[in-house]
Amino acid sequence: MMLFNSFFKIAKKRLPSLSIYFFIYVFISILLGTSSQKNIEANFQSKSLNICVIDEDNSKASAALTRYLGSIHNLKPLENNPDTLQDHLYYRDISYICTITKGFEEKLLSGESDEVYTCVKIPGSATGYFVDLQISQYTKLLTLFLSGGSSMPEAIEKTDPIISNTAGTESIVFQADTDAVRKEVFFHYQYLPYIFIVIFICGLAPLVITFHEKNIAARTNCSSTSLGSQNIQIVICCILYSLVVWLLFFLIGVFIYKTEMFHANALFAMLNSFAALLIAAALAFFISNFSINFNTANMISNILGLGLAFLCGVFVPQDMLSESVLKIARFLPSYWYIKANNMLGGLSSEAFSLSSFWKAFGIQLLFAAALVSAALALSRLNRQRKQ
Amino acid sequence: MNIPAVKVENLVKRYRELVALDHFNLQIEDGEIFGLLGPNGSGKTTTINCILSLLTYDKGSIEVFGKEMHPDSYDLKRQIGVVLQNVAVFDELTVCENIDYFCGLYIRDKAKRKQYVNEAIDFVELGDFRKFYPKKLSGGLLRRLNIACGIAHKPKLIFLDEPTVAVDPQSRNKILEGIQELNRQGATIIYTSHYMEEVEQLCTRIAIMDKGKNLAIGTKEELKQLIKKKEIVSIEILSIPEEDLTAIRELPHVYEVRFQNHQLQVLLNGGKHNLIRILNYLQSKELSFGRVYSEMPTLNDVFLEITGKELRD
Amino acid sequence: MFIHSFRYSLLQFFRNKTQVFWNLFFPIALATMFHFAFAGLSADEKFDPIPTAVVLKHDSAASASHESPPESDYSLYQNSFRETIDALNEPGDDRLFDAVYTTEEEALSLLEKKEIIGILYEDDPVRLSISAEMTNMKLEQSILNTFVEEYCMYFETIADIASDNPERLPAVIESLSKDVGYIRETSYSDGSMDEMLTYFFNLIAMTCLYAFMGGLQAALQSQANLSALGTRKGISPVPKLLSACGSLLSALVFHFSALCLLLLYLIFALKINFGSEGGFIFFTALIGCIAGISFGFFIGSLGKMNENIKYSLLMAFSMFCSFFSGLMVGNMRILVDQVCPWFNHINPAALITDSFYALSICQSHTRYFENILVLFILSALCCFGGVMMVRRKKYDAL
Repeated sequence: MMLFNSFFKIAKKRLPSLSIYFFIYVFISILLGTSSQKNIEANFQSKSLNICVIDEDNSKASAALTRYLGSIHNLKPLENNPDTLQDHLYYRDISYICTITKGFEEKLLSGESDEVYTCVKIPGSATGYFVDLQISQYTKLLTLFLSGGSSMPEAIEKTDPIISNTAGTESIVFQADTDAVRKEVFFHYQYLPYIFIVIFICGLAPLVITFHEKNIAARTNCSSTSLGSQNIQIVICCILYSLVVWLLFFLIGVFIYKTEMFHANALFAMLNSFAALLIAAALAFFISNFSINFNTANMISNILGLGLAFLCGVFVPQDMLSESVLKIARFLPSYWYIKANNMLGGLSSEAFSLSSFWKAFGIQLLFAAALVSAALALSRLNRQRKQ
Repeated sequence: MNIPAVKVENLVKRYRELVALDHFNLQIEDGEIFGLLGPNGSGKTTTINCILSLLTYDKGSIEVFGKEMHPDSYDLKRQIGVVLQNVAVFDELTVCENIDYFCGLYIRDKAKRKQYVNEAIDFVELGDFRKFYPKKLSGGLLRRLNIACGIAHKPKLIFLDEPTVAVDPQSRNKILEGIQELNRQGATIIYTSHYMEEVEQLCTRIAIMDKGKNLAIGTKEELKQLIKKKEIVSIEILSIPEEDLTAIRELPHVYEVRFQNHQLQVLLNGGKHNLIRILNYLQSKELSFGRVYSEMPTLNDVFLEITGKELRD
Repeated sequence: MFIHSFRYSLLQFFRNKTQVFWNLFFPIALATMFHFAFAGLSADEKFDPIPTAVVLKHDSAASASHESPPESDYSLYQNSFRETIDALNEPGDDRLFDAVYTTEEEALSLLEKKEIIGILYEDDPVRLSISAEMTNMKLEQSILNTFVEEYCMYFETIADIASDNPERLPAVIESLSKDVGYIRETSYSDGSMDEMLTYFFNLIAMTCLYAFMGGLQAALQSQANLSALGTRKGISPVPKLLSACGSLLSALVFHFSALCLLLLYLIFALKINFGSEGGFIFFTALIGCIAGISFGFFIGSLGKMNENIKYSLLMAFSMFCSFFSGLMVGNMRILVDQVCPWFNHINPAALITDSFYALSICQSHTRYFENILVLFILSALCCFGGVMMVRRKKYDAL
């Protein structure tokens, strides 16, 4: 058991450098967890954007439009200065800047309502389209009343009912039981493939390499411990190490989300994370066949971790990735992990189905198995070369 | 009279509470191989760093080649070569480039530098490793590279601070021979070590330091004269009665007799024909004995006697 | 002597695999990942026709039982609904729907499979059903909702007017069918509004700050109390400032060439649009690089902490600055602007990012040069501090 003891003694020395990743993760997790937003709402509420309305007309009509937009969106009072507005728009702090031009009311009354607004938006964006639609439709409504013979105050009064009227929209809940789990539970699982790969390649691989190092291996081979027993001890160490890491992250989840972590879908996600754990461990096992130091392991883990994360949709939702990227990602394990997790948490436009979960899970296990066999083959090759 | 290569007077250096050098005096003549001997922490490296003007000191004066040493004394620095205790080479540069870099800090002329670098490489026998990076060198080779970097520019005054720590015996002998060769070529050498044998083998004059003080200074013969022990006679004897031990102790010049593991050791403080006298006594008592050695005291003995007493107090 | 230390210091940088990795390969790899991952970012913002199912009245069972409005109005209403849907279903820039006409059951199953965003029921009034589970499609749902609300309002309006002032009806219907562009779209600049750019700007800023590695090395190797190499340099007959300057210049050459490669990769391989002012782009990178090196040099010269601690400190500093300028969260800058605006004016990463932003967006160069000036002052302060400490020739302890 000496090997076993020294393994964990050395593992402890790596702790400070790995704990940075760990604490960042916990920090983000807690941050997400405290914003307790229910995943599913039975009553439909229209999407609220941050927009800025600049009223140059200061008339009743312009005030009515401002009030209407304010009933849907958050109106941000910003200084009317192109630089400031541009900055806020560029950094997506606001989605739309609408300027009601001077003479707006008069133009409406005279029926000459072409280009009564100027707007600045992200060109071609859906949010821009959304606000455009509302402004146009509201204005059209006003002109309808006006052409129907109403005066401006009457027309404005008549448009009142459409403000905050969403009664016509029905929100259908298909899965009755999902509403107990917050989306954030699945965000907790979302980043695990990245963090596992970093922890395993930076933490575990250099450890295993230490034991495979020429002199140490020679010394242990001279000892009374048999080669078989040595290997078994190393494997047991790796398994224990993995389980500890896995349990740790699960417990953080339990700490933040309490019983929600034991909800059916969350349990599936936990199972899914186990597959990700196996893959990360197998990857570390594979890499440990090359004699590299901690610095190199750090580089590899960053490139592999970030690469997989970006290509497979850990940081950026899979929906946003281009078709060609997704085609490549299909050959990477993290893709299937994220796909399953998204489906479980309703984070993507894929509806939940048990069969596709098992498919994704199975593919991940296959990846892990392939990596382990490759690692074993490589280690046999190494040993033969040494002899 | 010749100008001394290094002259240190009344040097005092404190690290907060700790007095590292306590009114330290030293004079090293041109052409010497001077040994600074002392246990770890006795102030050897501090002395060297003060002489090199790397460290501030609280009191005293330091002269090199008759001129006061300052950080800006670039003319003096140009004539000094230092081999530091810690290996100081660039990991990213090859053996050849490392030596060229450090040599280049002293010598501008390219052709001359090239020649010097080659000579230095030959000197430390690293010819087969020119294109190697330091990471690929073994401990002994790395030390040799470290030395080459320090002496490539053919300085007149060379400081070697424990250059043989953690070096295999073969490399160590090469290094020591090399140092003697440098001295033959005219360089003054200041050598620190806590290996007495090295200092004894190498140095013409030796200073023994402890706790920042210069305890004794002189040639090894002079140092050996300082101590009581002048000769030690060891004789293999199966057993010897107690009264015979007392009798041997009474012989002239004997000041201590030990008997351990069938080994009789007689310590003497000078005189002549000591060995014969002891053997005669043993024969007269019909005590049979095996091998017999007579040894002169080593620097080790000198060191133990000088510093050991202090340490015991 | 200057050239000698410059030459060897440069060799050192280019041969140091760790440095080359973090300053060249890592940013390039990250840029490539950004490129693939964020390619969909602007596509996601872009408006695409909304997949919708339309269930017509005669398909639903309850058609007869409904109390009908006056015959003429109702047919107008019904025809107009289909016409409107069809009009908005026509391929083109203004296409709102990607609509299919189908039965209610079919529509519900499509909705459950998340293949459509909503179901429009032709009814009186027109109704909309959406799935509560599609929370990531909130915007599309809201657009459908807006459409339905206001569509209903039009007909209520028409019905009102028809009962109150029937003689006005033709005028109203005319104004309803009149296609008016109420809104004129303008912009404040010709620059790209692509959010993805911010990430690339930040990536460059991060790489600039990573140049601290060069400054740190230059500082450590010229201080006798910080490294054995520094000691050895300290006893050589070369003034310390001279060799330190050689190292710093080589650090600049190394890091700036790495940055140039990164920029060329971004511009030519990834086709990132930095705007038209190529010269200024490289100039910004140069100033950023100088800033990074100065920070490294300053911290490197400061105090007796060992190399690892200083390295970690600077790494943490770089990540901290990058985070608050938006490397991880693109719109961080504007959030900082609301909480403590002064921080954006001293955060070097934010200054570099904003310089690129100003180049690509702003018409004048005032804002650009303000940023560059602050960066320059920060660098000068750090260099000055570093030099003051390096100048020291003797040490209390090694």
